[in-house]
Amino acid sequence: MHDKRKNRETALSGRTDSRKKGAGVAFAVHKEKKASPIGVLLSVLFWLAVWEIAARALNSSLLLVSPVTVLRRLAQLMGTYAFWQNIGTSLIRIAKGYLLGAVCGILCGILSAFFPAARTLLSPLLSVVKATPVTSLVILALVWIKSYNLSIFICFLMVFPILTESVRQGIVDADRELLEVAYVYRLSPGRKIRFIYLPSIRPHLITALSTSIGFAWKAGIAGEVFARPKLGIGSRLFDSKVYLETADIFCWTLVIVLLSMIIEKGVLWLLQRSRKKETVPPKEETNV
Amino acid sequence: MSEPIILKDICKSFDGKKVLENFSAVFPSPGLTAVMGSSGAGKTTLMRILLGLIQPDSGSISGLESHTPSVVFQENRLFPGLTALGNAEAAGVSGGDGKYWLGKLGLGEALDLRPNSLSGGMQRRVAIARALCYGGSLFILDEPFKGLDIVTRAGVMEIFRELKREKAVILITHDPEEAKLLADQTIYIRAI
Repeated sequence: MHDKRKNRETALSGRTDSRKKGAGVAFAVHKEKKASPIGVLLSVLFWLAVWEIAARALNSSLLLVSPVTVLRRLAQLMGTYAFWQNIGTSLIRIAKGYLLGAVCGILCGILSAFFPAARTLLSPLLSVVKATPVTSLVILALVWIKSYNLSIFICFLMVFPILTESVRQGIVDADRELLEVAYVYRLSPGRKIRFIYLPSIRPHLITALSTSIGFAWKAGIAGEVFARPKLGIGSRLFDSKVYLETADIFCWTLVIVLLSMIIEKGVLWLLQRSRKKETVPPKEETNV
Repeated sequence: MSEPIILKDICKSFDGKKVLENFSAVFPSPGLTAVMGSSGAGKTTLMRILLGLIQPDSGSISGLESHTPSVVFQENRLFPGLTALGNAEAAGVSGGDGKYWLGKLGLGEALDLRPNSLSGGMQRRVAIARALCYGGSLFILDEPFKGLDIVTRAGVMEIFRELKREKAVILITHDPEEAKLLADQTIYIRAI
């Protein structure tokens, strides 16, 4: 018993000897400081310089183009209608898959939390989808699905298991003591959902939605690379590779990275903003 | 007027460990019964049986079906997303206005505060206000004075004195003084 406790304390503090000196406590409460904007800018400039030096050293626009060339080419592409059309098409396609996966995931999460049979039924499917590499899923899906819809399907497969698990966990984690209060006071199902289940699901849901958007975006683009629909960032990335347009490969990759960051931040901002303030329940509703 | 609650030969075990064995009691309605006993004697188990949260292994209970319970649990169990007023009225209002009860309990200025902005004693009073707002016919109060200062305690005692004239009140307490001041009868549960 004593050993177990000692081990746990050791794990919490990092090291037994440092804890004795008080350093362990400092380690336990240590908070990482956020990097300053100047620091971030300097680090970006450093890596751009490394890239520029490497490009000059290689001196081959086929192998590695300089960041200046990439930015120049990006500016050119941004001036064309096709650039925005490709981005718009990819965004719509991925959004469709993401929303479909989120809605189905939330529904299945609720079902699997309240009905053990639903959980048992879904469990093998979720395990297989989670364990299968994206490329395998894309190649398999290519057999059945039209190139335009492939990304939608792949995004759906990325989002669905994450949302199902998170919503189920949120419901399972609902405060048992508050559920007892709800039982004794005969709270209506609506109030139970608003006062107990939603607050419990919310943090799980926010994490799942913001995490899965990144997966959906990357998997959706990968799907486009394989399926090569008429329009889409993935298709343009593949074309650039086929025609050995290295600057274009970098441009489209840069677009993917920037959009990924914007979308992730945007979704997180929207989710946090949508967090409704709980209000006093209406008086006319009486349960007695 | 509601029927008295009669418990006869109630037994309850958890994992083979007996908590209540052949427990019998009559809780008058109206009237206040104090339930006392050492920690682990089965007071909370008895409360959970009366609330229908657990079923006894054997024995019978009568009169309970004619009652609607209002409860103050040992823990405050407030909804963290709701204000003090929201919590008081969370179960629907029949015993009176949430504002009225919170005001009576000295929380008139704290109606819009959420539980994490309230002190332990204030949270306790919100939990009491919720029970009063719900206005059941059977009040089960598990150490309701926990964390209350002397003045507030006296005020809450006065409310319970009024309450017991019309309703069945079961007060679970460790404090013989509370039982002496409020109870019409006191039941002692001995640990098995």
